[in-house]
Amino acid sequence: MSSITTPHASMDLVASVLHQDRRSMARLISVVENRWPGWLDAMQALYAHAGKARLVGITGAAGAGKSCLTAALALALHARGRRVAVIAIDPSSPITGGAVLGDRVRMNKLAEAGVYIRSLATRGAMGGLCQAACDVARILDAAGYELILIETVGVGQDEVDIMGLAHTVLVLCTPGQGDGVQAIKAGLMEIGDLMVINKADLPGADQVAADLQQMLHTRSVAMQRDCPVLRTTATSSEGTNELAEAVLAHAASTPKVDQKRVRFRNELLRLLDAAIEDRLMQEPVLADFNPYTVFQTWFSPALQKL
Amino acid sequence: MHALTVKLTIFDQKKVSMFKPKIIVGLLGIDQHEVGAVAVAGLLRDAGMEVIYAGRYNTPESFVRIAADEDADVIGISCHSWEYIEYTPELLTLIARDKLDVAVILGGSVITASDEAAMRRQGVAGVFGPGVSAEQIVSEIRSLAEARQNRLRTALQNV
Repeated sequence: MSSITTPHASMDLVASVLHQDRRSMARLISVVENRWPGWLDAMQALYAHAGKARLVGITGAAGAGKSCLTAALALALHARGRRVAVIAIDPSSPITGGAVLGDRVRMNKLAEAGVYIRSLATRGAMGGLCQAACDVARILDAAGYELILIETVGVGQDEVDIMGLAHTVLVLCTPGQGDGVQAIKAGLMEIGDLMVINKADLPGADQVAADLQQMLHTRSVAMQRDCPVLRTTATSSEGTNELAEAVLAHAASTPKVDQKRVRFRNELLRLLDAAIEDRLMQEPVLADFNPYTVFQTWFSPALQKL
Repeated sequence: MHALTVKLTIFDQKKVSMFKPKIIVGLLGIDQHEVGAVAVAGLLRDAGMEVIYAGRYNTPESFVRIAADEDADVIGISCHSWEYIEYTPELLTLIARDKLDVAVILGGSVITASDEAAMRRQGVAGVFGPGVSAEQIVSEIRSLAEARQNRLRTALQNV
């Protein structure tokens, strides 16, 4: 049930989020995304309550059908009684800082089913994944969602960041992307847990599947783990039940060993990077632009104490 | 050289605007004329805003749900048919019922002066009929979003 009177203070929002209040959750996401007063206290407090959700990253080149597939997959999981939420990320313009967040427009049926969808802009983050995505995933996790689908920007090889965040990574491709699966660069092939050929009704699907199986064979032998190749037609929901089962099966399997460590490291580095950049913004003139001097003054003493 | 220029732009841009107005842009009912909405979405993006594009076939309920879930500052409705006259009152009622702090603006060439007056009386915060400039649209939306975000920020600090 959504509380009409939304608390304002960040710690009150945290309390409401833990009681699964949807409006408070939406508001806390804004507080944290915008770094409004109390955001850090809130995230510190929430951390202990997160860690139960499975994060599913959905990547692939633009036009592969990520939004449609994310929606169809979420619906299938929702139909199985799972508490699922969606984070849809789109790029911010590096020049103007604005963004058109156009993923949820393909997810109308999902929204009608009452599933929570949040759109995020990258706001200048490199690598297609922003710290906000990690923060929002954590908030949704603490709010009790079992499965959080994260639809990434879709820039291809730069998407390896998602591996540090998601437990299960879906890599999407489509038939006819030229020369088999050239669109899937080496990086993506290595991080995928499930390969999905979307728009599988188009000609060339068999060839793509064969190419993928061949490329994955070497990897499977090395990593002693199979990577299933699935086919879907997201617009008609064909293959999405099988995909949902595959995602749940992967979620039930043991998580990647160094997941937590990698995630922690990446998040800490991003937090530090943002804090330093904010601090640099405020410094009108750095006397001689000597990075060694600044590092010495700002960090050496603190680092020695760690 | 180009990469350097872009990097510097990001550096400056962050300093200039951490304030990101968040606006939903969409159409009501069976109004099909999406071209205007798409154009305005691009315009607002170019002005540094985050546009949640809601496309066609929205109802007052769906707009309210998006506004609540995305915690949007403004609901922008592109109007090229009769739907806004019929459904805006219901939209405003739902917003009041749910105590959502969100402004509603209407834009489109079919909105007459008398329609505008009627809509404003009911609580619509902005109306952009034929002849309005891009600058005016951007500036009014920015004001509405800034006022709302300031309200929310202030509430966070007053505890």
